[in-house]
Amino acid sequence: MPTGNSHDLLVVGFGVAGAWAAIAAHDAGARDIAVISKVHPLRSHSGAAQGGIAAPLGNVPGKAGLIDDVALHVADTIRASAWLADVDAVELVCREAEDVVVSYEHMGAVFSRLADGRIAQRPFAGHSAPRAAYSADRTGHVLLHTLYEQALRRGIRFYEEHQVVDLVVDDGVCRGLVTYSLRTGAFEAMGAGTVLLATGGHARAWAVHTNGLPNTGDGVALAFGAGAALMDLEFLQFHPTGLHPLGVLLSEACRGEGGHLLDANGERFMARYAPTAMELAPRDVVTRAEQSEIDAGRGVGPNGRAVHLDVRHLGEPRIRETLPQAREMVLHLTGKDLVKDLIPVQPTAHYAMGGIAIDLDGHVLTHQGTVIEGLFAAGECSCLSVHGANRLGANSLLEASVMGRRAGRAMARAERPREPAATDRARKVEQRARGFFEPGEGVSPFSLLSELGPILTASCGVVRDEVGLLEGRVRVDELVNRASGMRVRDRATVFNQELAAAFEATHLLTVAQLTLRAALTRTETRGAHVRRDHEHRDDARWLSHLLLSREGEAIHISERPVRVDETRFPPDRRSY
Amino acid sequence: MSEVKIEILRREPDSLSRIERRVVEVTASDTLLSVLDGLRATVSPGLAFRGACRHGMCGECGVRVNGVGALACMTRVEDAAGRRRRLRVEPLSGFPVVRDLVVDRSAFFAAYRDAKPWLLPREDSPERERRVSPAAVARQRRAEECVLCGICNAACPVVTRHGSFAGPAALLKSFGRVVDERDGATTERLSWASTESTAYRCHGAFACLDACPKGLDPADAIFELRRLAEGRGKGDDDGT
Repeated sequence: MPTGNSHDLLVVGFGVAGAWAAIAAHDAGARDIAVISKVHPLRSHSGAAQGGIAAPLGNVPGKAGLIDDVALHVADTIRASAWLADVDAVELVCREAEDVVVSYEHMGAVFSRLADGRIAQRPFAGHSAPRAAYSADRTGHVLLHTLYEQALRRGIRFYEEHQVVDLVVDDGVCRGLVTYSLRTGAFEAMGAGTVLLATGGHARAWAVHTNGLPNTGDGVALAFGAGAALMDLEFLQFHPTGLHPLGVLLSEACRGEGGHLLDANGERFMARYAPTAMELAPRDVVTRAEQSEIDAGRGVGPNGRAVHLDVRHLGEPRIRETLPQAREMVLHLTGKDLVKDLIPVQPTAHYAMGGIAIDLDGHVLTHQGTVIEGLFAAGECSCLSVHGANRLGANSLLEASVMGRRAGRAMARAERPREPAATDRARKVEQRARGFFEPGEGVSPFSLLSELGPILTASCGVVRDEVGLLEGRVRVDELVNRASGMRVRDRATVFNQELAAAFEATHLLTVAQLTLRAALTRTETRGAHVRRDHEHRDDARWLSHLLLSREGEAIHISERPVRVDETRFPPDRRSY
Repeated sequence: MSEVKIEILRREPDSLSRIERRVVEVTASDTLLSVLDGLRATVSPGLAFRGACRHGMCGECGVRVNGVGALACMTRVEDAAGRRRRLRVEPLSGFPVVRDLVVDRSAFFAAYRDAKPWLLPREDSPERERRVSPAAVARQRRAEECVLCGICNAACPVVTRHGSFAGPAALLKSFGRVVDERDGATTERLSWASTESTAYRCHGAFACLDACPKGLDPADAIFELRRLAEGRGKGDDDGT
């Protein structure tokens, strides 16, 4: 029998967004806060963020003595977003950047320091001054551990290895959720006053990606099912330096510190694509250049699907100091040494710019722009939008921190009465789960997950067109049909990861379907969304966000104009 | 592509262990985590193991490989199988087994919590960041890099013998705050560290140093904690 209890605040996910929300809500006076995490909180994927967190501290002058400020940060972010970011959102996040980084320091985060003891900052692609505060090349790890320490200090309650499998929203009000516990095999309903979804990204849906195994778009899929609008899903960032062929991330700090990208002829090909910024052009530009080189037959590696990253000229002491984790990882996984060897890298699915539509306090929105009461989202699963069509490196830890904190404070302020646990909903999910064990042949969730990747990469990769996207849509629809007959072979109660994967596969398939739909709809090229059949950015038609929401079993598509500041940040050509 | 024989120690709750033997085809880039993932997706749907980030940063996938603790995601199967082309995979020792390669880490994390790894600031926060010298950051690095995978505790003969021992990981984290210039709880931390269930329980076997997949040296931190605790004690005796 499903059991249930209730908490004032439920936070789903403990990456930096969820962690900040829990801590900020506590500091704003909320006490009954519970965090639900499908892994141990310290395994959250924010810990994989490497190069830095952006904030215009101005600790390190840029070229010609340029001193950083908020306005520069805003301008860089909007330009990199290909003018799809909303100016009020960008200004808000950049304005709170310094405070959030200083707060990390006050909490005890171990940042890399300048000789005079201030926080060190390094250059990052697309930022016009050294803006990324960092901790060697494991910034996310340090920030995540710092936040977990603070959550322990505050006595925040954790439900570990609990996966969210249903979100309870009735009459436009969120009343709680249903979890599946890996440890006990139980389905539990949890009532809540407010719920925050901070479940992270879904780049795992692609064949080669930088994401962790648990990043299966749970929050995005559940919010869609519950009536939320999903915004800008067609914008998925492909990182230019995923380690070939595994895809795990090689920090942008490799380029920030001065690394080069070389084609098969040993030439720095970025000279032909971004002659000024070279390797430090924003990710969409570098990735597209890489893909062009690879497609033109100038790739490296046995199948020519990679290019070379070269940091050898930085020298051993500098690499040891600033890229230790990258060096160790590459050494373990490939036997190559950053100090002596060229490293094959490739465009790799990395970060979802799109996600659950939210407002400036993290309230989840419907396509009409109304708030779903009691429901919040923050971090990569959400879309404000700060990143628009292309995110700048180091802006993700920033946005997740700022928006997690804002959402936590708003949840504490809401003081909504705690709803009873929806045990009937837990029973329904349990029944659905029982269906997975019925006799008869059926596809395994693991094979659905592994079939999905190549389909998305082929149809909705770095460069897309209508023919490919339509084919991808047919093939993903086919997987969705087969998923309705999914079977779980493992019979165990404890740690039945195949049953967990059945829910994950459902979520990831939903996100894939919606992404294809969004990519088909946007008939232009902007930032990370590159259409071979619509090569140009079309501001006259497409200076708008694309919203997908559920209408019965159908998908409702609508648009919302981007909030642009025509005077200060008029849409312009992007050249780097 | 080449063949590797892989043996996995499997155990369901409340039953005896058994060894699952498989022959797998691996490429040069296959890690133990990707091989386990492949087995579970095909022939062994009930094979339970943990894994998350896939690049050695989250600490989730610690297992024993040919008798030695390792992160599955950072273990290249070609290397680990060696000339015998054979690999034995078991759960981390010293932890209760939940299922197959999944262990119960609650005691490990309880010890970590007891170490109070959070900063207890010496003074009120200034408006901007506190100043910290790069040298102090370098001292702290040794603790900050720890991913809390538990492999050092699994290797430690004292943890295995004495359930009450806090273990190398918790002590390393405590050390990280003791050398933190910003921290004001040094006395409290050193008194926590200098008991028979903390730094003084360590036998100096240095198993943690050998075991750490991040190349850290918890043993050195433990001796440093003892030295600092003793130094402080003497200071008090001098009547200062």
